[in-house]
Amino acid sequence: MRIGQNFAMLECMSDDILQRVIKVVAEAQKLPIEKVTVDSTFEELAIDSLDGIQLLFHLETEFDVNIPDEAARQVRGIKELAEGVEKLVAQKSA
Amino acid sequence: MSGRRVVVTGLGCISALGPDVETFWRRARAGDSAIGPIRNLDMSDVRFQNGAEITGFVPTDHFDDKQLIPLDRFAQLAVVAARQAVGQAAPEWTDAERRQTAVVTGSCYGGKTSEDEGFREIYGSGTKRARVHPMTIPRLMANAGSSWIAMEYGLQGPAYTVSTACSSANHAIGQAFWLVRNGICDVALTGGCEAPFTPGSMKAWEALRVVSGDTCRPFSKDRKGLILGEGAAMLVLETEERAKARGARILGEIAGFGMSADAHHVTQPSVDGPAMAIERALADGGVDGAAIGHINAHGTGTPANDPVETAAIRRVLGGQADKVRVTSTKSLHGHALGAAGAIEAVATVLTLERGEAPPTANYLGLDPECELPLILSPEGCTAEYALSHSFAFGGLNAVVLFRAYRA
Repeated sequence: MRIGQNFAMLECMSDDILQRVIKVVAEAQKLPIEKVTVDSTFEELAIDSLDGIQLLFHLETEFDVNIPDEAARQVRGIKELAEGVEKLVAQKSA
Repeated sequence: MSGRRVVVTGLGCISALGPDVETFWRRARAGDSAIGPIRNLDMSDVRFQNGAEITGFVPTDHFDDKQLIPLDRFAQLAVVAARQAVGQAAPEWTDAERRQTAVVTGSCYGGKTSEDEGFREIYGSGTKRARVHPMTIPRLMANAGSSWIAMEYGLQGPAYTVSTACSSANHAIGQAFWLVRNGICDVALTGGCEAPFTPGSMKAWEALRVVSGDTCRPFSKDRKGLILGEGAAMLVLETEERAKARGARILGEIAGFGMSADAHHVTQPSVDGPAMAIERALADGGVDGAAIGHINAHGTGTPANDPVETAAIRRVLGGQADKVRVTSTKSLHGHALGAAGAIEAVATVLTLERGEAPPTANYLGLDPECELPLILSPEGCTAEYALSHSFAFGGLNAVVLFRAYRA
């Protein structure tokens, strides 16, 4: 399974969450925001494992959520990242 | 004495005395102490107020924002000092030599700045959601200096960090020297790095009651304790044969190394341990105590260290103890703990190379228990051999024997 249970893919992704995720990624990686898109993979953005850990830290701060280790390990790109965050935000407010 | 001759071809130093070796030396040889009020921390709740801080260090002058994320201050200082040393030595590594070059650093604390910041958040924020920065572990690991220097230059030989409190850098330099002398590698980068100015660390030193309320007065009457310092210093070591073959400028030679344990008391020094370390450094270098013309002493300025160090010098050097010229540069750059031996190694190499000796500052007069031929104002130095002492809490001693380079 590529995506952990808590990070299960949602059909409709919130644009607000996507844009906030993109902003966090661009700022953390010191990238121009237009270089980060919903289809970007971590590989394309040169995000290595250490960068990824920091991204999770910043996303936890931005969305006030707890991202489980197992789910986080499966994520390979921005789309999965935003979907996972959206799921966690939804769980929090449920 | 055995094996190959090991020479110093590069020096790097960032300390309270200045951002580079030349500034360090200009102030050190003049006895211009860098000790003053600690400015980068709120010291209002700490009994002591003075330290030897680096001023004007701007990390982004040396690293880009992304490089800085996993780098604690102590590792930043290590890389800055290593760049200076490598810049001077211009080692001309072949690919095969890069795979073999050693990196051995000393650090007492590791990344205390990051650890302190992170733990303050956990224990002090009052929230169950408190977290530490995800780079806290890579920042605080004591081997960060060695690791980042190895990565900076692609050096893949023996690389590690020694942590023996105030002797860390001398243990590191001594082992790097032995690695080169014994043919494990032809080139080594070695030294120490420390950045101890954090709130938690200041309170810990306060509680131990060994930090002076005024300044550092080594071997002086009315000395009240040590003064903490920060910094990093690195040396490029290589075989004499390699340095000569490539026409490198040789700054000095390391001729011997000795170490010992007091096996006595955690903070009270003994004469036996330091004396054995000095004897072993002399034996390792194949010289007699009568050959020693200069000592860069451990000389912390604590009531306990200085008489014991005096007795150890007298026991080993005998009559030469009335002639050897002794200084403690901790009165100038503070006690930089795991970097101390490295900063003092830079001072000792320059003393022998340039024929001028830095004085011990802040001296008020004789303590009969610390009677040594102290250097109290700038003077010339004609010594061929010099010792650099480090005697750590925990009773772990390391002494490096330097020699003025003569082909």
